Amino acid sequence: MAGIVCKHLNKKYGEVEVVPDFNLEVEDHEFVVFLGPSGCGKSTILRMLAGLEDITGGELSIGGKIVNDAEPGDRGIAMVFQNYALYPHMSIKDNIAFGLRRLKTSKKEINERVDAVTKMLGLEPYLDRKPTELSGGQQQRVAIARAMIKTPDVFLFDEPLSNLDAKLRAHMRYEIARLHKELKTTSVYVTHDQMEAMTLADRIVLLNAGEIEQVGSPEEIYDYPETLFVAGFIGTPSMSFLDLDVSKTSDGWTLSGTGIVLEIAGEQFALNENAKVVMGIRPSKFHLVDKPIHGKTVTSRAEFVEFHGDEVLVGFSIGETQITAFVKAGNRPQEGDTVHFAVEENEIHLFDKKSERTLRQGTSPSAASPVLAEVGT
Amino acid sequence: MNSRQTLPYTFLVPTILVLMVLAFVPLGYAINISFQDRTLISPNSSYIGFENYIDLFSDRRFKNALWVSFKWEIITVTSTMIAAVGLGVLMFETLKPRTRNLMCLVFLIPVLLPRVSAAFVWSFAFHPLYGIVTYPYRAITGKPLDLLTNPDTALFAVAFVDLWQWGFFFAVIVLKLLESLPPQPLEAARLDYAKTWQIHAFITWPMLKAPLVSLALVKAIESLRSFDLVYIMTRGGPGITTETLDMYAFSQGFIEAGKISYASSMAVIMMVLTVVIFTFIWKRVRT
Repeated sequence: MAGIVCKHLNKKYGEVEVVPDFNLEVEDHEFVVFLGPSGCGKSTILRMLAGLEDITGGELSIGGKIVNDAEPGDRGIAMVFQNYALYPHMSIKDNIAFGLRRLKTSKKEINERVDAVTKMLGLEPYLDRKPTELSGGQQQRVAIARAMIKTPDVFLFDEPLSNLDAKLRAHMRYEIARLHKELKTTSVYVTHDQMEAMTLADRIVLLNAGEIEQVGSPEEIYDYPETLFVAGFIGTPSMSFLDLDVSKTSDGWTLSGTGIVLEIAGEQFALNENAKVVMGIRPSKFHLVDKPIHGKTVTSRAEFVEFHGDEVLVGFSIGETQITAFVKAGNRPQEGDTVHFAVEENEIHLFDKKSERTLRQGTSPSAASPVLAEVGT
Repeated sequence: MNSRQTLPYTFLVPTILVLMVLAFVPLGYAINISFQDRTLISPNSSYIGFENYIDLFSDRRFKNALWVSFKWEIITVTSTMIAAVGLGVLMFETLKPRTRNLMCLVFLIPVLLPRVSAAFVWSFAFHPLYGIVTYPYRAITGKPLDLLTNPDTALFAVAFVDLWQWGFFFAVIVLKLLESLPPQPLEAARLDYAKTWQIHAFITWPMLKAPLVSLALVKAIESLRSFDLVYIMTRGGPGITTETLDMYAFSQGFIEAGKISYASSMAVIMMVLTVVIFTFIWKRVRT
């Protein structure tokens, strides 16, 4: 068991800087997920941790030892690849035992350990088969078994579920969570799927263009996005954004734009007269009401109504901006109806237009966590 | 028949006809001639049945040529494959992609050279008094070194040129094969404590076995056509120590006796042997 410390990690391919300056501490037993759009450098960072990519600059230590130049085999890690990376010509048993054989572990011990991991992952019936004779989910389970049998200090997962179909993905996600609960091995998991990140992570590291946008628990990332990018990336369907102008009133602030005027107390935000801000609201935070209330609701015409089951997604415009809102399927509007949505002050997110950083004061979520506390009880 | 069905035949029939004429007419002619007693000296000839073939089996020079050809095959195919795999893996492990591509370009040059030119270049390099290959030996011992007229070394010296031409080329192919492999299993093996040689022995070799065997087979067929190399470098000499089957057939047919029929029977035997042996090997490899 071991923690990971990345200090000023830097990666360049020739002139191209993929990862400028990456700092992160992963604690022992922690399950950290690197989340970000494709090409954001998350896999590169993982491969640097694994030793499959050279580290251009900075310092990486695993379990207290600096391993910048250590061979992948000497880092106490095991990795699960997106395309399973099984040895195609070997039987499942040989695949799993390959690493231990290289370490010259005794035959008896290898057999015992193979038995143990295959039992844990339900692979006993397939030991003599070749990888191609197994389904994708089974192959990925073999890959996990191959990683587990080494009893590594750290597990690295490189988008392990991306090649599986949706149903299997949910099942394997559950299995990975279960294994982590059982083994408590420090894990770093790379994915672009926010569902995986939300459900598995102790902490999410949200990356964009090689830099960390935000680090936090899934709740923190979802409820208190620190940047516009994070706010837009997390959540499906994604948050709607409106460009608004700020002006001071006697007892608070007014946010106004084409077709919208909102009055807020604004205590939780650092606002300035005439500032330009971007307001973000998740679709589920629009509340359908019967009558407009000045300064508290937005009014528009339902342009489309999309059936999602229990809820419908209503699309409408404010000014030029397309907005979506979730409405209970029971009292859904018809397309073309005029709709009024109430907006609660503590459910909106305000970002500075220029810096794209949150305007919420006391950014530490623990300071602003009455909502969290309610959820907890 | 509509045009969709006739189109393939329109293209295939003429080309196949031309190829068949080109392949089978000389073949039939050679088989026909091998049953005669034709020589270049006289225009008359008559059918003598299998006499040429029977004579061959009591011809010690023919048996020698068979043996030399066999040795030639073994030496050139194994040395080419060993060099190709060794060099290919070395490039794969040590060079960056850009340097690799440059090396590949350089490595292609020997095989692009006509074999006759290669043979001449290397004959001079092996020259006992002026050759660059023999220079170190001369410099150290002060004596000339004649590899091409020494019965023990002549075949190896010629085989070396063949290796020089094909070893580098095959190294490029091996490198490209290695590059075409999915990288993840190799990375997984690195994480599984495998050393570099173990990765190649346990992972890449089994993955590349089929293409490498095919490559060896291609080289074996290519090696059969050693005539130009041997003809220019040694003419089958010293004595008959480098006289391969095609070399012997040529000298029987054109240089020494003009025994065209006798030479043809040799060519027919060579063809039958090749077809039988290679079909056998091919079948074995594929199962």
